Amino acid sequence: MATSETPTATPVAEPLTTENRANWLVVGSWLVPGLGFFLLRKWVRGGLVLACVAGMFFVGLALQGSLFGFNTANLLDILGWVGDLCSGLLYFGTRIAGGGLGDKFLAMGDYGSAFMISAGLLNILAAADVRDVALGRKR
Amino acid sequence: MTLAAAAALVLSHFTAVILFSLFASVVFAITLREELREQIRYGVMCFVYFLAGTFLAGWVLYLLNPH
Repeated sequence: MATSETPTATPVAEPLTTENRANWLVVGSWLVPGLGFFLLRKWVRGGLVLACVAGMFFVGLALQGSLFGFNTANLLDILGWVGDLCSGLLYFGTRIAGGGLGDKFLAMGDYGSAFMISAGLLNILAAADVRDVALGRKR
Repeated sequence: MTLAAAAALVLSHFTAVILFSLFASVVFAITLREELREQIRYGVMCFVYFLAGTFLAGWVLYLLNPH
């Protein structure tokens, strides 16, 4: 039975944009954390998402976490790579800059890797939320 | 200085958990609740649950291997 807290697919507010544009907002939100909220003029939400995702990613980087590369030999590596990839340009930029190599001699390095994967997963969660907000399914 | 050569951040495990809980709770609150009041409440609740889970796991591990 549906309750007031159950998410529904029916619009609860006026759609802010079209379906096609909402999909592009998701892509933009994936590449740059919070961008979709900024384009929808949800400044505070966008700022918080950007601060949290980027903050988590850079803390992971500073903890000497390692970014996963594409490697089909190990299922866990693939999952880690997908998680890292969800950070969008943070991932690509760090790889291009030569970061995210990690330090196997630091115990906190594994924590750092977990931080960076989590940052990506939070970013995708926020990007999916952007679509709901854009289509009026959520305020 | 390249990113690869950046100095390592040194955090205690507890501080790392606090940071993780803070970031995750804020995003959960934004994405899973709609009204500002609900978001604040949900975010605080998530943060407290994260910390409670951490303490619980710590005690369980301690009781499993107290030495």
